[in-house]
Amino acid sequence: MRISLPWNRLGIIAEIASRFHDNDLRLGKTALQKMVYMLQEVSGVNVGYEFSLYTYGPFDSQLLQDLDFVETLKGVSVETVSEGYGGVNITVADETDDLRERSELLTNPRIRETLDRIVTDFGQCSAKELELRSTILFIVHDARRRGEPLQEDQTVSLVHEIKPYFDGATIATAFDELETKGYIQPAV
Amino acid sequence: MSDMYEVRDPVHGFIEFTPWERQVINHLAFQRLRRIRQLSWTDMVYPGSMHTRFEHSLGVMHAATMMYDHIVRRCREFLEEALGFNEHGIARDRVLIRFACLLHDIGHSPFSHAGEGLMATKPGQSTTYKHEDYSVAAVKYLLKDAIENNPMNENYHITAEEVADFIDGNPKIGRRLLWRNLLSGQIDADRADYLLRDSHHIGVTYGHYDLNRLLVTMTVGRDDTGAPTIAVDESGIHAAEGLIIARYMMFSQVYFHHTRRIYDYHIGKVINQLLIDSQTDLPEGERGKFPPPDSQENVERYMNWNDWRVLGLIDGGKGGEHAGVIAQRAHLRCVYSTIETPTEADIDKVNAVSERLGGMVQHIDAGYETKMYKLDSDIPIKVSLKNGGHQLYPLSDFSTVVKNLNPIGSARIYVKQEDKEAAKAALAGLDDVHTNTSLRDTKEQGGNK
Repeated sequence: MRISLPWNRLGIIAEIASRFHDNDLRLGKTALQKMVYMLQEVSGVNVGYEFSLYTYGPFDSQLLQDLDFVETLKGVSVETVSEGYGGVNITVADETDDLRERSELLTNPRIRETLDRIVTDFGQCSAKELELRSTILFIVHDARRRGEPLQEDQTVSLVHEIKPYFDGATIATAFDELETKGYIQPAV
Repeated sequence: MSDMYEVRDPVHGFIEFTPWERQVINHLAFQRLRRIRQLSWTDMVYPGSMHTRFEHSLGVMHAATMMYDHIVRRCREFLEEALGFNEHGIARDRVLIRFACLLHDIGHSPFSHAGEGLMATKPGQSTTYKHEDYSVAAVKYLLKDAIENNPMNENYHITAEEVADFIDGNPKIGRRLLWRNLLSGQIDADRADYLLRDSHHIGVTYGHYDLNRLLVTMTVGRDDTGAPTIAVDESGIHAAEGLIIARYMMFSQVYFHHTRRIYDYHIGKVINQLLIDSQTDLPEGERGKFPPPDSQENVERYMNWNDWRVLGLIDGGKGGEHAGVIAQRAHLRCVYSTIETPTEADIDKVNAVSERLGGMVQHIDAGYETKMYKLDSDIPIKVSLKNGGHQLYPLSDFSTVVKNLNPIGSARIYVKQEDKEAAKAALAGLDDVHTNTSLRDTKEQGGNK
């Protein structure tokens, strides 16, 4: 009888931290939640998380716990950022590459392609932009999963109700951007 | 308020409820919670742990209401001006939140989380249903009439669908997603209640924290993206810290206790066997799981399962060998445990020990994979700025104690009671072998962080 650590989930965190580091981008806890959500949702591959929607976007507390675990294993370093609004920067550490190599999921071409896409398309986004886009994606996909697909205007209206600090035009622009880039398939 | 009912509660004093809520509480689906113990077989370690999901559910409704009322009192202007709430909306949401909190656990399986591993797989997905999915289905299929048909609802027009959507986190609930943090968030009423209640019944003080201080410092703030979220005012930092530490201690000392964990394993096996025995109408390969919560008939079949039924079947000789183990208190014994947050080297050691013990090993508990108990440990703290605004920071920015808490998830090896001494003897020659305590390894490794 043998056991192993959940390398797939842990390796994904290390991989995203590594990619952000290589591109000289800051990865906070909010951005990590959104990137993993997008990875799972867009690739269609179950990474091992079950996200729920909160006012601050898709979130799974398991991911925070895994982040602590990865930090303990020295797979990432979570550094406090003092400038601006503060927060943290999740970056590479001594065992980052080791954790990445242990994740079989990272050999899956769909996972790798999706990571390429989302880091390119969203890596430069501010936390606010990422939160909006991941929320739109969540609402669209969740409604389709429930068999109650929404039209664009319904989605925009619902996002605005949840996030009144985004006006309708901003939400609609983000929706169109996601559709243009292929993250949202047109409703049938 | 003369038509309010009240019930005495060991944690909160008195819990009040309306005739409308009484109608729901009196429903058989809710009364079933009297027959589901909050902490499964924890009484095998802490004999006082005999409380049920029934009183916890009342407690969550009460705690959420206190939180909601304090937040509304402190933040009414912000809620109205920035988020568009009005007086009627605030009053209506209060009713909705109370129902959702009251009913959030109605879908628990027998012996609470111990039965979670036996829930059906979602169609077209690799994930399984959770007890929340059964709660949602029970509200929709069984409680529609009790929720919707009451004279008091003339003022609110609350539907069972809405209550279910709130529990489910369906985006359709719109701006009320803010209040979902009170049911499932970093400072939610669920954990606020269970820490105090479990501590009370068990007879430990690990779960104690200053609820009153926490309540008066709860507020709403905007995070760095502008999203409104439930937070704690900076004056409540130590109350928030106390809550996190209480959770950590309860996880470490109670929820992840090595004997408690093995009883979850045994009862899971028992229920699996009972399901197999009862599902003669299904093909052999499909037996052993609870029915999916996708129809009224299935939900009713599921809700027929409770602790009493399982205990009765065990008493009648059903449930297989694990039922006998429970009845005779001959549970598997832990002969090896890692530190609370195992490293790769620790897991390698577990596997080496397992190999040495060979056939004696009956079960390895990978505690770090348990999804039922997640120790996420941060709370947003609202700090006032000189310009009149505010900023939210994670509690771990202020608290080195919180910052240095590690997730809890020991890996443990269990053998049969009669093999315990032989297993110990077999491990005698190995370095770093210990039973149940992690102190020596922790010291040798200089702690985790």
